[in-house]
Amino acid sequence: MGRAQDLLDAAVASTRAAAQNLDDGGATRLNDTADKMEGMREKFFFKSLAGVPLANKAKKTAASLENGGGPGDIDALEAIVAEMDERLDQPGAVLT
Amino acid sequence: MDPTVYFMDARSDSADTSLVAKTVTVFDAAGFDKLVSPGDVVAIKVHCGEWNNTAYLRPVYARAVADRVKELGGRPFVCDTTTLTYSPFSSRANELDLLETAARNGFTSATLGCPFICADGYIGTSDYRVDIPEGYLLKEAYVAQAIAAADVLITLTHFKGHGMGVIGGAIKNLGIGAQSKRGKFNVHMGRHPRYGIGSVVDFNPDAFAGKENDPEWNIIEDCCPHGLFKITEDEKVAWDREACIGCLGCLGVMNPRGIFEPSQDLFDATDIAIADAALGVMKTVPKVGFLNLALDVSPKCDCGGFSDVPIVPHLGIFASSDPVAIDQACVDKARHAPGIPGSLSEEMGVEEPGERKFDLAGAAIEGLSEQTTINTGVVIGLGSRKYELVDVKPAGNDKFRFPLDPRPTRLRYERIFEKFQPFPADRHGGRGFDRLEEVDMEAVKLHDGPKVSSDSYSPYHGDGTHIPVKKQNGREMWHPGEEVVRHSSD
Repeated sequence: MGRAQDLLDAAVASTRAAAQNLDDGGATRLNDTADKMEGMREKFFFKSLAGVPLANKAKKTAASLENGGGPGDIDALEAIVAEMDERLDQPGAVLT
Repeated sequence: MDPTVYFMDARSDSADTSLVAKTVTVFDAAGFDKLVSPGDVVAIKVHCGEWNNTAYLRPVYARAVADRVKELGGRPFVCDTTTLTYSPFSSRANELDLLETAARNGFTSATLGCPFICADGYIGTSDYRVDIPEGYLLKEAYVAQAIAAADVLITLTHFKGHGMGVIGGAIKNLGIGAQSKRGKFNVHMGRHPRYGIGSVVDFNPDAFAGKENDPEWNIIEDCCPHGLFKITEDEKVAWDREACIGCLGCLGVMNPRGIFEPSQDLFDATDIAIADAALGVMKTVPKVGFLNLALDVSPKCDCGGFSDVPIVPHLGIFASSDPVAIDQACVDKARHAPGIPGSLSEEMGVEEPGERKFDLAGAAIEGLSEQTTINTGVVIGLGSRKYELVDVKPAGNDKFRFPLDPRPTRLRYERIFEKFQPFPADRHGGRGFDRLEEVDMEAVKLHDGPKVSSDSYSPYHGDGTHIPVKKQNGREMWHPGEEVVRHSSD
């Protein structure tokens, strides 16, 4: 398993754990975000080192959410996942 | 007995703890002064840095080593070798380009106090072939001729990360840096039936976006010295992969476009071959010493035309007769160091002490190891992973004073100051200059701004007086003052 996939898995786990502590609105947003991350996991982007920085950011932000987090953390996590989605199939996903 | 690695950290607060002084100090501590006999020709192998790279070692380190070699009666030269093409616009792939790049980066005979040469000739075919039956993968190496001909080799290495080698250390400075261009083709698996680019890279000809969507499409055809890439009439990329010699000039063109998917086998095989080729150098040159300067530990190599933020703080200066031990010592120091915030080590999630830094922050692709070349070196008898780290004490400030005029101040400057009067003692009642008697110094020390006036052009004086603001075209302007030319005869 790749490093990026490891980090992404940790991000998904923390995101789902954080969702359990939120109201319906927040929980739905977080579970949707976790679903999106899971859906990206098998892409080559996350099997290469190119995916590590964003997966690492997601992991740290999700861990912060799990530990109570700040008001901007859900927005921040969604922004990271949106960036992942944008870069996922771009040529050049491999560092050279 | 484990080999010794001599070490000084990177802190400095005196002449003898200057990093230049430490380089010379560990040189002597490791016994390299005894390697050099009067009359020996001594090659000092450096990486002079690609065009616009900034992390390579400052030339002063090579100068200091060359000066020490001269003190010992040796005849030094500093050298680098031509590269493969590595990119379509490389700056060191022939001797002319290399010397121009080196000069721009500060490596000239004038700055080094000895010749700076390209060790493998104009094209990179000036070399010496050596058999290496001990090799794990390679069975021969092509050592740059000037290095092979030297009596002594001092490998002066900038220790850092590397996209392909994972680390750039002493072994790589031999296994790539001391190889001729021909030797580099060998190490980079050119036309290797199992590991060469032509054999192992996943080629996706359909990934080309088309000439209309790729304004720089012609570089696809122009990146190969043998012209092996063509854009076909149906806008696909054709590649005569069997003819590929492995110069790596296409990787940076094809990978970002998705036309190539890099092969881990190519990278791993190269990392193994680096150790083999390094052994070829050790078998060729009678006496070899290694200096690793782990400073500005950038994640990628000095062969890139850029340098990223260092991934760990300066680690220090290392010296050893064992290239494996010295690289292992540097890797261990890096592993136990904290990552620098904002660097690639933090971005890749390996910023904590104890994390292996280069597997992720150095390597270009997943699955490479910072130990591959080192371990191969152990297997083939190049050196030992086990080592004894010896802290070296500073050698004393006397040794590192400015050597060109050792007289103290009064002996050097009494006559000159008297003659040229650099301090104008004849003006302002002997005080020399027009200055206020006393000012409010605290008023300008506050971190949130001065407490007396925040207008940039307001002439508020330190003694509390003001002069009227001059205005020109409605803007406040500096007082023009008066120009006074003072000649030495005044």
